[in-house]
Amino acid sequence: MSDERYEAIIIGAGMSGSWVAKELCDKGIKTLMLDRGPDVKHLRDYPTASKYPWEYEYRGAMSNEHTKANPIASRCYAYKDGATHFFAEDSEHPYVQAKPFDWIKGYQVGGKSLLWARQTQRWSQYDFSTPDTNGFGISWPISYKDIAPWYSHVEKFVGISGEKDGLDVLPDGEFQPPKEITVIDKHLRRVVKENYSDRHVIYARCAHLTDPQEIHREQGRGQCQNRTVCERGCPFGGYFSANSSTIPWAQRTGNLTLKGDSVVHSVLYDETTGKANGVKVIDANTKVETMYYADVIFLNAGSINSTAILLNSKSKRYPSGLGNDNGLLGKNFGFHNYRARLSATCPGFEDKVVDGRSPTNVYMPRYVNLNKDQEDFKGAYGVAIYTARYRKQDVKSVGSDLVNDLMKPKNFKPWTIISMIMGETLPKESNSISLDSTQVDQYGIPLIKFDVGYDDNDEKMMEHFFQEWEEIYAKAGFTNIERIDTGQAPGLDIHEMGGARMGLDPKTSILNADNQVHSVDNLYVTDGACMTSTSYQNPSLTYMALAARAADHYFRRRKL
Amino acid sequence: MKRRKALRNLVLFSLGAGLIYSCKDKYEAIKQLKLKNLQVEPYHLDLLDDLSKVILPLHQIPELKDHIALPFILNMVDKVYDSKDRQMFIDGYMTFDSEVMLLQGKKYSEMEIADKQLLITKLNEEKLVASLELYAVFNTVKAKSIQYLTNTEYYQRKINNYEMAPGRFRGDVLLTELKNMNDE
Repeated sequence: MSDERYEAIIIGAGMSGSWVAKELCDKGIKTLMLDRGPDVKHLRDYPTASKYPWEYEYRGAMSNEHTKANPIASRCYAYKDGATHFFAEDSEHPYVQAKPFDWIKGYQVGGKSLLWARQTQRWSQYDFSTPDTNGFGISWPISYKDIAPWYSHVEKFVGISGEKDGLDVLPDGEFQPPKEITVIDKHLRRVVKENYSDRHVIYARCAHLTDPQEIHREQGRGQCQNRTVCERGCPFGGYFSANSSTIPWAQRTGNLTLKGDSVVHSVLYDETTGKANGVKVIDANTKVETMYYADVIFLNAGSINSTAILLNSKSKRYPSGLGNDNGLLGKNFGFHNYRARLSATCPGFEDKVVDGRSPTNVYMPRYVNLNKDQEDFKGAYGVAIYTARYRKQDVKSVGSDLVNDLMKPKNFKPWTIISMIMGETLPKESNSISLDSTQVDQYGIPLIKFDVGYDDNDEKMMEHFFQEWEEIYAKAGFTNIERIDTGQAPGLDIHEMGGARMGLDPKTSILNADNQVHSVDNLYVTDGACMTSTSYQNPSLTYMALAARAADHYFRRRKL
Repeated sequence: MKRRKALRNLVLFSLGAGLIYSCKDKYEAIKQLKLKNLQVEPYHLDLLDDLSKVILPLHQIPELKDHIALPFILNMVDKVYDSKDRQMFIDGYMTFDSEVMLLQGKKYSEMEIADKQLLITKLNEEKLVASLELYAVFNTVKAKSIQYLTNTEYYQRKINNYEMAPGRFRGDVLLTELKNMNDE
């Protein structure tokens, strides 16, 4: 037992939790931040950050033993030799799948901010309004103008590389200079501009420093070096992670207490005051239980774990989970549909190549279903576009000829392109997460059960993407066009959202417009669990902006 | 230039020992791998080593003249291959000599270099009616020898112009402007 008391407790030291910590600590609030995983200190705990490709035992491959022990994590694009230590082991963290769901977990201080794809596109007013106007969800309780200043606030601190595109479907932000794009990106951009007035190929905005400012130097961060081994942790702080940025910033204020290896069992509820008053924590190593108390609690354990903690926080007043008066906690769980890809060869441009590596790509924002449904599906999709020209290895020969062929430096394959749908999935009660009634984890906490799947709307959206992009490819002169449906399970997009959604009406939502639980106003949920709908953009920028906004809401309310 | 050098030095702090093997310590290097699924007798180690050298004579590259690919090949088969592919490889090298004897009238180990090269060429062109296991050995040794070469520091820097930091990205570059394009 402990009677440690803080003004604020933050559950989860990842992308959004670290933003709450920074904001509260900057304002002088004594804060405890808990994370279920071990501490990962910037620089000190990046053991593979500067390891060269030739130093890896399997030269980039994964051992059979590792892949077998981690069948889910190993499906993730970032699960590479050199980064596996930032993924939770599948065998140690089981969950129940009523339908297949690939849950990619980063259990350490910093969470998945070490592993993210660093794409940072703002939401637009269309994204906030179409669930309501196009009739596929409840209204968001906030609009773009409510969050726009917080996007700017976060972007300036994080450092976003981007171009001012002037698009209302993807508002501009506070940008540092963009990196280069490829000659095929430029060609595609030109073709799209010549043929379509509503479509735009833009530089995909990303959280990489291309022109560090004083605020970044104060964080100890420097320019992105195009190493593209970000998932190992960046010793330059070239991309934003909680570990390189917000956490050390908050620690320097002297107001943050950070405790790793602290698995939160539940949020404590005081029946007499009707408030949350603390958390019950299990030490990840010793399994000893401890209580911590605070005036305000922020849940930032990630969409899935935050929802699960609420479901597991049972009391006389809330027998089915804290704040769950309407029975919707865990329901309307969303993700992004990343199944559809279109690949092709790009003839021409034989005299051009790329030199080096880029951490980003180009992108097409949404252009259909803006004010009303124009197609036979609902929701939006954007497209991530990757173009490349790889070296060719002539390996047909043997002996001296093989040596000579391999040592030729001038061999390149034709240019290639692959475009990937980033599709909105529609909120629905049947996509849900819940607590299993019989099975528990190593801490005695009920296992999380997933009942999440694709639907007919997702299939129609994919078909639309295929048809539209086959046309675009044809106009661009691309050949060998091939449709790919990866068939991947939900979850591998790593954009889990919802479960404790925001809304105007307590009958249909769990959180209000300021991310407070409707009936427990000193409990904020400011990670992906709060999302009312998913739209199509990579969501971390929005989580960070919502987290900073909610922390500010608490601070202003506290002063009253 | 000073800045580039400083950045390069910064990332050298964790430079570990590369997995480079020399002929002299071949057996010791293999012992250190602590293979779990392969128990290769010295006779077969020599056979596989020789096969690798005939398929891809690394010694012809002056900068890699002391390199041997065998420990890497065995490590990959032992720890990365699935059990089915691994067993094919094992069955293949165990019967390699006897099968070659049947096909060519001479054990591989007793062949002159020219005969070995001829055999390898036939296997490479799939002109030899041989077992799947024998082809599994050939294909594995060839593929992993290539992987070893193309992942050496020398190859990465010389052919791929690899630099960890400062890295670079130019997306629209004339082929003729690439750093190593004038080397030919």
